[in-house]
Amino acid sequence: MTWVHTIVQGILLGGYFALFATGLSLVFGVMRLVNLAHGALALVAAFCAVALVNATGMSAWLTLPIVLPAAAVVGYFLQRWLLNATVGAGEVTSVLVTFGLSIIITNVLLQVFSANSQGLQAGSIGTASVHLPGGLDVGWFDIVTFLVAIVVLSGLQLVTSRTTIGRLMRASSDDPRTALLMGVNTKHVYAVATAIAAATVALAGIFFGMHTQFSPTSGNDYLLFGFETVVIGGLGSIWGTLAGGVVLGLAQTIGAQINPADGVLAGHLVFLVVLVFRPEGLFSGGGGAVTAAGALRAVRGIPRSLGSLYRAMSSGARGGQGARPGRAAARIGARTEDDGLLVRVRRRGRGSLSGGIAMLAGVVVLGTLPYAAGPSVIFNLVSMFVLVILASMWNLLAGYGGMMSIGLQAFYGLGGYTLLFLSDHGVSVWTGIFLAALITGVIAVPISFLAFRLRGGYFAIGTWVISQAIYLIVSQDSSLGGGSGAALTALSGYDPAQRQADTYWVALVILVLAIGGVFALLRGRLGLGLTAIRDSETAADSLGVRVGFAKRVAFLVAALGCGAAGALTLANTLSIAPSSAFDVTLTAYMIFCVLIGGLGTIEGPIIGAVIFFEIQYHYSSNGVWYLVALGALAIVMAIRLPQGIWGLITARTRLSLFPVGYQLTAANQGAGRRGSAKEPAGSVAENRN
Amino acid sequence: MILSVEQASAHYGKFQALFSIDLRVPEGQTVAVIGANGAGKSTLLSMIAGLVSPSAGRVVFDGADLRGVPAYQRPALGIAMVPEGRKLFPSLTVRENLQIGGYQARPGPWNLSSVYELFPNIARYKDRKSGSLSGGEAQAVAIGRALMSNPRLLLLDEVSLGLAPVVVKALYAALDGIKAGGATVLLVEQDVSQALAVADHIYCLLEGRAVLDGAAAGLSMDQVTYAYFGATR
Repeated sequence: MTWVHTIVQGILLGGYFALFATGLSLVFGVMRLVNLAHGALALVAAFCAVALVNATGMSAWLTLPIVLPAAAVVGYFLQRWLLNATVGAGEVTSVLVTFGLSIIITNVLLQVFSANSQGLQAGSIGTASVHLPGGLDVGWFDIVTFLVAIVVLSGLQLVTSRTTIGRLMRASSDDPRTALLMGVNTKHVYAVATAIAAATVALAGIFFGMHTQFSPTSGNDYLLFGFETVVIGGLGSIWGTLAGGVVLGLAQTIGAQINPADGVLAGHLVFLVVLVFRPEGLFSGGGGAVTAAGALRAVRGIPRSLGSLYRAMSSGARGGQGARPGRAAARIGARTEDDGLLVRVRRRGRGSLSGGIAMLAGVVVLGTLPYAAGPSVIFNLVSMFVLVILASMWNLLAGYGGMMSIGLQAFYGLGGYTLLFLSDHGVSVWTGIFLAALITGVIAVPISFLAFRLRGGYFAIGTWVISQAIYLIVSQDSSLGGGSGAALTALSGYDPAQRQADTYWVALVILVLAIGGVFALLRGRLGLGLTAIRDSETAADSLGVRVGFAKRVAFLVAALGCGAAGALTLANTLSIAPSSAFDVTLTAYMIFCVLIGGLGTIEGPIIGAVIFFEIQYHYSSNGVWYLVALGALAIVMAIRLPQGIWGLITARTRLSLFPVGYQLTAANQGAGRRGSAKEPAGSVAENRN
Repeated sequence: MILSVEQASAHYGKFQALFSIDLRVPEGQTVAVIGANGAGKSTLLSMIAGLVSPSAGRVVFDGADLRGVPAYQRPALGIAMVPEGRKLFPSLTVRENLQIGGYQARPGPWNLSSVYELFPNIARYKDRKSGSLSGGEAQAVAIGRALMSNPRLLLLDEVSLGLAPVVVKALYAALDGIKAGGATVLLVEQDVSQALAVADHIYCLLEGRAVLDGAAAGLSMDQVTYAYFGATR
C-alpha cells in the first residue's frame, strides 16, 4: 500500500513541477529565451507572500490576488527594460543576463530574509486529506494544486490558440521582423508573454511554498525542476508539460521511498536517462508551433552564417593559395598575387612577439616569487591561478565553441575529490593533481554524450543538472566525508612553507600548460572549426567541420583544466566540501572573469580573472551586496560591452598577444605598406575572435 | 504626393546601400522600382516601411516626416508591405495570417471576405497552416495580409520572385482591384517588362543610386537596359 501511496503522491507532485515549467516553456517558445532567473522569480513571489502574511496576518491564499498581478507587472517591465535587449542578441547574452539576474535576486533575498527556511501555511486545506478505500490518504492541497496546474495549462493553451494576443505571440515567434511590418509591437508582445510567465511561476512559487519549506537559494532547484519537466515532457504540447511534471514527480517520490535522501537525485537521473534515449521529450507533440518555429529560425540563420564562414575560409585560403586554412599557419608572411593585389597573410598581430617575450619573462619572475614573497601572498596567487585556469576553460567552451555551460563546477569538484581519493589511497599529492585532472577528463567523455544532446540555453541548464547529480552522489559517499567534506591529510607532515611553494610551482606549471594548451588548440584547424560551430553549428556541419569531435575535444580540455583547478585548490586549502566544490557560484565567477576581460579571446579571461581576483580580495567582505553588484556588472557588461576590456584594448591598438586568427594586409606598392585591405582583415579577425 | 523620399541614404554598418535617393509617388499612380540584384531596391522599401532608418535624408508620407516612427506604427498610418519572399507566419493558418495583417487596420474596403473575393483560391485554404501553401498561393496570402490593414500605400517587394509566369500574371491581374480599393502601389521588380506593363512611372536603381526615372510609356528599352546593367550590350 505504501507504493500505491507513493505513486499517487508522485503524480500529484507533478502538478507543482508543471506549474514551474509553464512559464519557462512559454518564454522559450515565444522568444527563444532561456530564462535562468525563472526559479528566482518564483522565490521572489513566495517571499513576498511571506512578507505579506507576516505583516498583516492574512491567509497565504489571500496573497495570491496581490502577488500574481504584481508579478505580471514586474515581468512585463523586466522584459521591456532589460530582457528585450537580449532578444536577438544571441543566446550568450540572454543566458548571461538572466543568470546575472538570478544571482542578484538570490542575494537580495538572502540580505532581506536571511538564509533561514521559510514556509507558507495553506490553512485547514493544507492538512485535510481525502480518505480513499484501502487506507489511502491523499492531501487536499496536492489535489487542488494538480487541478490548478491543469486549469493554468489549458487556459494558456486557449490564450495562445484562440486570442489575438496569442496569435501575435505565435506570429512574433515565427518571424519577428515581418510581425513588425504588420503593425505588431513585438517588444510589447514579448513583455506580455513574460508577464504571463511571471504570474504562472509566482503561482508555482507560492503553491510550492505552501507544500515545502524554502530558502533564498531554493530558486536554483525550482529552475532545474521546471527545466527537467520541460525536457522530459517535450516542447510544444501542454499535456507534455503536465506529463513531464508527473514523470519527474514520480521519480522523486519513488527515489525518496527507496532512500529518503535520494529523491531529488532520482529526478535528475531520470531526466538524464530521458536525455539519452529520447532527447526530444517523452510526450513531444511533434508539430507544435513552438518547435516548428524554432527549427525554422535555426534554418533561417544559415545563409548569414554561411556567408561569414565563407568569408573566413576564403580569406584564409587565399593566403595559403587554396590550401586548407589550417595549413596557412605554415605560410606566415606568404605573399600571393591575387587580382593584381599583393596580399600578405600574417598570424602575428601587433605586440605578439614582444608580448610573448614579456610573458615568458613574467613566468620566470613568477617562478622565483616563493623565494621573495610571504606565505599569504603565495596562497592568494595559487587561488588567482586557479581562477585564471577556470575562466580560460569557460571561455574555451563559450567564447570559441559556443557552448555555454553552467556546470563546469562538476569537473572542479570531481578534480578535488579525485585527488582526495587518490591521496587516501597512497598516491603522492603532486602526481595526484595531474592524475586527478586526467581522470576528470576521462569522466567527462560519457558526460559529454549526455550534455551534447542539448543546445544553447538548454545545454547551460543541462550541464548544471549533471553537476547537481554528481554533487548529490558525492555528498552521500561517507568514504569521501559525506556532506560535511574531508581534509587532505597527506600533506600534514610537510613543512608549511615548502608545501606552499611546491603547490605554487605546480599551479604555475598547470597555468602555463592550460593557457598554452588552449592557445595551441585554437591556433590549429580545430580552433577554426570550433569558431565556425560557435557562429552556426548547422553551417559548420554542412561545410565539413567535424562538429561532434571538435566540441567534444573542447569539452574534454575544459574538464581537464577545471579538474586540475579543483585538485590545486584542495592542495592549497587542504580541505574540501561538496557544497563549495560543486557550487554554481564558481561558474558565476568564471563568467564574470570572462565578461570583464572579453569573451572569445585568450587574453580576456586572464585579465578578467586578475581584475576579478582583486575585486574579490578587496570587496568580498561586503557579503551579499558584493555579489549583487557583480550580478549587475555582468548584466551591464553583457549588454553594453560584450567584447570586454581586452576587446576595448584591441579595438584601439590591434594588439594581439595570442594570435589565433589571420591578418591580411594588402601591399600594393611593395611589401610592408599597409593598403586598403582593412575590411578583409577585420572580417577574419571577427570570425576568429 | 502620398510619398516622397528625399535625398535618402542608407547604411548597413559601414556598407552604404543607398546614395541620396529621390523618389516621388503621386497618389493613385503605380510606381515601379527596377534594378539588378543588390541595387538597393529592397533596402529602399525597407526604409519606407521603417525597418531600415535613413542615415541621411528623409522619408515623407502624406506630408509628415516619418523619422522616429517605428515600423510597427506605420501600418496604422496607411503603409503596408508585402515583403520579399512572402514571409508568411508558417505556424499560423491562412486566416490567422490575414488577421495579423488586419491587426492595425484602418477603416476601408478590405476585410476577410473582400480579400477572399479578390483571391478566391485562398478562401479554400483558410484553415490550413500557411507553411503548407504553394508559392503562388502564399504570395496571394501575403498580398491579402497587407491589404487587410487597408493601406493607402502598398509596397510590393518582388511579387514575381520564384513564381511561374502564369501565376505572376494572375497576381498582377489583382492589381486593378487593389487600386480600385484606394491603394497607391509602389512595387519593386526584377522583371523589367512586367514593371513597364503595370507602372505609370519607373525608377531604375544601380548600385544604390537612382540612375534613371521617367514615365513608363516614355522610356525606351535601350535606356532601361543601360540603366539596369550600367553598360550597353
